[in-house]
Amino acid sequence: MNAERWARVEAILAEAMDATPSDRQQLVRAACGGDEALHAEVVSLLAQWETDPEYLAHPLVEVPAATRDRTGEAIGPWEITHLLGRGGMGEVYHAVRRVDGAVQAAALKVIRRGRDSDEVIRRFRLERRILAQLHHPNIAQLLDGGVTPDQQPYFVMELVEGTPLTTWCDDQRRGIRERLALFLRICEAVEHAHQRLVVHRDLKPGNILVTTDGTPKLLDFGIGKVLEGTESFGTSIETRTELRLLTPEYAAPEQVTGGAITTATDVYALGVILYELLAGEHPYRRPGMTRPDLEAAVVSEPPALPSARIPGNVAVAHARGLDPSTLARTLAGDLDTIVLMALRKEASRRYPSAAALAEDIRRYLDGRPVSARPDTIGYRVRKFVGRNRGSVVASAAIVTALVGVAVTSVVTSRRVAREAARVQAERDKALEVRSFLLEMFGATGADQAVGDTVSVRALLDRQRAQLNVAYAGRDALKADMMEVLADGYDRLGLYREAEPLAREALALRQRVLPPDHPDIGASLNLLGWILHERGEREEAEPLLLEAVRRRRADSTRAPEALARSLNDLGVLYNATQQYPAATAVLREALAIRRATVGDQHRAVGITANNLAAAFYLQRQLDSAVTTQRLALSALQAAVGRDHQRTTVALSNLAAFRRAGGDAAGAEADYRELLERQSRLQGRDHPVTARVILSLASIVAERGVRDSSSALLAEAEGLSREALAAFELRLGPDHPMVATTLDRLAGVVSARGRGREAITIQQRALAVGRRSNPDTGQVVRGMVGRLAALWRQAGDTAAAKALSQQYGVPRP
Amino acid sequence: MADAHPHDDGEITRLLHAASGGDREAFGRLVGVVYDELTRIAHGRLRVEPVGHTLGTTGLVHEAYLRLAAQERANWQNREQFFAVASEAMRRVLVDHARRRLRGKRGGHVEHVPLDDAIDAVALTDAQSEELVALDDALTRLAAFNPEGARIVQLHFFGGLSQGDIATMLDSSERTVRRQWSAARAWLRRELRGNVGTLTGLGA
Repeated sequence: MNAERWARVEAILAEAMDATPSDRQQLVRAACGGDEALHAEVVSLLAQWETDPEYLAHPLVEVPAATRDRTGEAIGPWEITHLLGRGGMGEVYHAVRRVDGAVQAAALKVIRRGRDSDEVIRRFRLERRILAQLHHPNIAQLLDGGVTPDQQPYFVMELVEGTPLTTWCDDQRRGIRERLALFLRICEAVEHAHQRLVVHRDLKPGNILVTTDGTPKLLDFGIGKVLEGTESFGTSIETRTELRLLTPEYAAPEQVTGGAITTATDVYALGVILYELLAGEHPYRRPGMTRPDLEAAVVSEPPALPSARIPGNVAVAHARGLDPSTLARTLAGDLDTIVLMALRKEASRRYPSAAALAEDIRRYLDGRPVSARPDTIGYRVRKFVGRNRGSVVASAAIVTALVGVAVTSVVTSRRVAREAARVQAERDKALEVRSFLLEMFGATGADQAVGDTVSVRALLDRQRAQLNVAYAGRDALKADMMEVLADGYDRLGLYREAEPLAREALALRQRVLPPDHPDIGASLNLLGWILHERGEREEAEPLLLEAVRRRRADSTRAPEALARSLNDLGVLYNATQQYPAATAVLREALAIRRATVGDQHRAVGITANNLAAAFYLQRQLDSAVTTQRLALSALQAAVGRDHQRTTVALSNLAAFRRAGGDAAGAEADYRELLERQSRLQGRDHPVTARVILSLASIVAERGVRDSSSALLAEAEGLSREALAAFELRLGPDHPMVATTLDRLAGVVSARGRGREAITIQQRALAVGRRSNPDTGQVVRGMVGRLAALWRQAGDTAAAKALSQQYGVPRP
Repeated sequence: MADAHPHDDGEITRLLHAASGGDREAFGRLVGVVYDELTRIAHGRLRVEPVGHTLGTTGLVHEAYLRLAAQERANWQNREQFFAVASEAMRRVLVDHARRRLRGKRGGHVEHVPLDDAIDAVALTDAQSEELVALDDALTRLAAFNPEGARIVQLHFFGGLSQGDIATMLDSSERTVRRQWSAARAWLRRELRGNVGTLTGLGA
């Protein structure tokens, strides 16, 4: 057979295959034109084809559907200019958009569509706000993101042209100090992201590009979280492949073992990168190593000292402008210790933050003593046993395993390390959630985060759902987590979710901890506080008193804990009109806080705010305004103007001023506050509702004074809105509901709807009696107003009966 | 860092450039790279998965593709270019394995093949090994007078490319590719005769 003849065979075969079976024989004979050999060949091959048309039709391998090149397409405002590259997750394009006449170029990453891309999109929407707030000169900015017209998720990032970190340093033959200086800038960028709750999860030299002017830029921040754990990459087989593709070289032990990812995960990756920058070698990777070998090493093998990798390695030393022995001497000591501290297997024993790692490097550069200490086997054993004291059998086995490290098999120590990583991961989980919540509500950046309650709530709900499964048999840990969750729900104003968790956490701790353990005091305080917020003040007071008692006994060790309980008790006293008692405890709390944390701290702001309220409620207006100014300046310094607590403090100052007769100024303040609150926390948040109610009162007063039906109508609308929010978020029997009904009755009466006002005032009284069982001043006021409404309606008998029932003299 | 990857990052790019310019030696070395990657993946996979677990060749090639693509980022011009190389490498991996298996069976000299047990995870039977070796020989004979047909068979059967992909790659029409494909495999099937029918669906 030759090529020419084959071409004829192929042509005749093609015609025959296209023909119907009945025509085939005749067609072939005609086509062969009497060439018997050709005819025989074609008939023979045709027979093969007819017997087995599927032969070799199913490939030994199958490939994913072809990915497109989207050059020239438009995605949102972006025009795709050309393909920059393809990776496991999809394609990266160069894209441009026009903003105010200028052309902006960017890198647009299209994530290959898979079964779970809806999940990716959902997560991306949750994360986007947070990612968009990462503004740092060394972090490639997330610009945009969404879904392409054909439903593939995409991200748009700042376009960075540069060289991977390690390559750049070697190409430029950067010395050790220059490398450290560059690394410091990377640490700062990572720290910036961590403070905004973004963990990178996939830091590696390839994700850190150095531009031509020597600026390091971190790519893909936060993207790992969006993509993690989703099956978003084509077929299931490929998914598995993709997940396995995540660079194990820079993965922390907790990533290999499936543990919790925290900021410490990034600290670990920074440690690996620093190791390579200094020693030119990876801590574990060796030629011929398979992936499982590498993963096992990450989990269980102690890395060699960076300085120990240098002898004989002339190329590495040369790239650092040194000879091997000088380089080894430079690395030995502090730099070795710093790197190994970042690389510790247990997340909690690494540097607590990228900033702490950076600080140690700065100390080294300045010639000061570093904070890192060499690890010791004895320490590791102690820590491990400490963490496992609940299980005597397990810890005994582990001690044996660790002490006998030199003789036990690799398999055993590997298993032990995995166990250690697992226990650590659980502890980290609680810490992660706690630090997440603290960041969301705490000292920094809370104004933007608080609006994003959806993602916080989702996190809380998810953790709560896993409580019983995840912490079965580990009660102390479970109580920690419940406490964190109760605190989180409380901070979201979801008191009904918070209360049962706080109760259970307290009960668990009382059962499993020694009776005088400080955690029990913390639990008493939290539950008392949540009950207070729910309006269950009778039950709350003894809990808070007990918390104060316990914490006073322990106040030398933890003065700030005592201050917290005193503060919370003071708030409760304010709410129950025990003003002198409130003043006393709040004064003490404020003194402790000013002494321990200084006047620029949010804790001072909070307690000063509460003390000012106590003064105000006792009509000591001068003290109230003075103290409130301290509160405001502390909060503005500590948490910024837009923070919820700052807005509350402002609101109070407005109220105090209003009490001083400046109604117009106060109304303007409240309107501004309402705008801020609605934006920050949503209009139905209890705190926003309080602002609405205050505004309603002022508007109503003005409406009465000016006989303005428009103002009265606005006041009624505002009051009803506040009422709905309180009922929804605090429950129908909350004192705030009574107060709001009370005010609403006044407005409705002023609008000339007397009978309706009576009904509302009756409801106010009923709720007020249920929520304030001592039938104190508040209820007496309501009774008086109800009686007045009856009289206005002409029913003096009902008014008289009511007054007699409550023993209230006629006003 | 020098030992980070057996193939340093620049190498694949250089080979790709040379290969796309028609350099057969560069192409051959590229196949070697993919071959190494395939066998290394197979080896690693076997170590983490229970014995007896069948390693799909699908996963194998995908993983090689993803790894090499990730390693080299944008430098594979397109996926067809990769699969052209991968199909050749896959053919060699499997056929080498089949030959070793048969050689062992016949009591011949067993060379040192550290990855042999890894490829066993692909679970080729003796019959499949025989057919693979026969197919490989027949493909080589076919290529002597019908290089395009042989190439199409390799791209589809060992590389997993569709007829449409192959048409794009060869700058041909789908119809032409289908004609060449049908004729070539009819010829191959006749060549193999008794050894036909064990290979379909393997590992897919």
